[in-house]
Amino acid sequence: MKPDARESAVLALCWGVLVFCAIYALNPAGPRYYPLEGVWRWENIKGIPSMAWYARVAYASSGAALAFFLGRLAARGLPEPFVPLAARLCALGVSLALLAASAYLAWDEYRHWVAP
Amino acid sequence: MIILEPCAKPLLFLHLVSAVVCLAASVHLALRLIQRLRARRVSMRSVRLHAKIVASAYLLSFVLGALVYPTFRVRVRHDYFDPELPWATAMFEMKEHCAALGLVPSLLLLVIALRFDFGVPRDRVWLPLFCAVLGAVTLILCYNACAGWYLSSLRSV
Repeated sequence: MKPDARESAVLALCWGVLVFCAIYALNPAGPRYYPLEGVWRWENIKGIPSMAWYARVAYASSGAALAFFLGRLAARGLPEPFVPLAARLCALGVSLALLAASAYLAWDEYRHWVAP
Repeated sequence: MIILEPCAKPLLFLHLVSAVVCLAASVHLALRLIQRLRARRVSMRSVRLHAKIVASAYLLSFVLGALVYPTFRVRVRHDYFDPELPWATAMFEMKEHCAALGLVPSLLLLVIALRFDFGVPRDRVWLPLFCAVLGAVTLILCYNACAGWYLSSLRSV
């Protein structure tokens, strides 16, 4: 059974989850919003509250969207016997990606804000 | 003046309501699925309904939280948490990370629920993935709800 359109979409979305977790955890440099001034800047000015989260989510979402489109093309070429295996690997991969990203982010926040 | 500060409290209230709806639907979906699988019959009707509620409430809660964030960042985090309770800042940062990580999985949950029928043998291969994603989204919602409610009790917008 070759993957049909539904299965291709799900496989591609799983790739999207993996890529989102990776980009989000890596946290590439992006513009920061300064709420007191209502402006966006690329630099991080110490002492003035700013927010990098919007750009971080935007980067990760863009990467996930690209992974989804490329994943859909790749999934259509998946050989027939591999669909059940791919489904199981997706379950494992998505779980591990979310767990690894959460653990890394928790450690990062702990060492930044809590650790002496 | 911080953007949307005048309506921060109503936005926060709506954020709370949508989060509660999302968490309740997620737990209900998990319990329904376990019940049905034990009885060896799966009705996709209630699974699809709850998956739609989870996905739409998650997105709504996410957007509302993003709108309240500028006010929170200054009036709560900068003015109180960062200097006095840095562990609370860490807890909040983890909440926003979890919310972001759960975005695509909540969409994945919806797509699987809408496009597959676990009563059909071919589609059952996707059940482990559905359960894994549902478990992850539910855990994220549990943490975010508890952290959000506790942090709001310390100081709110």
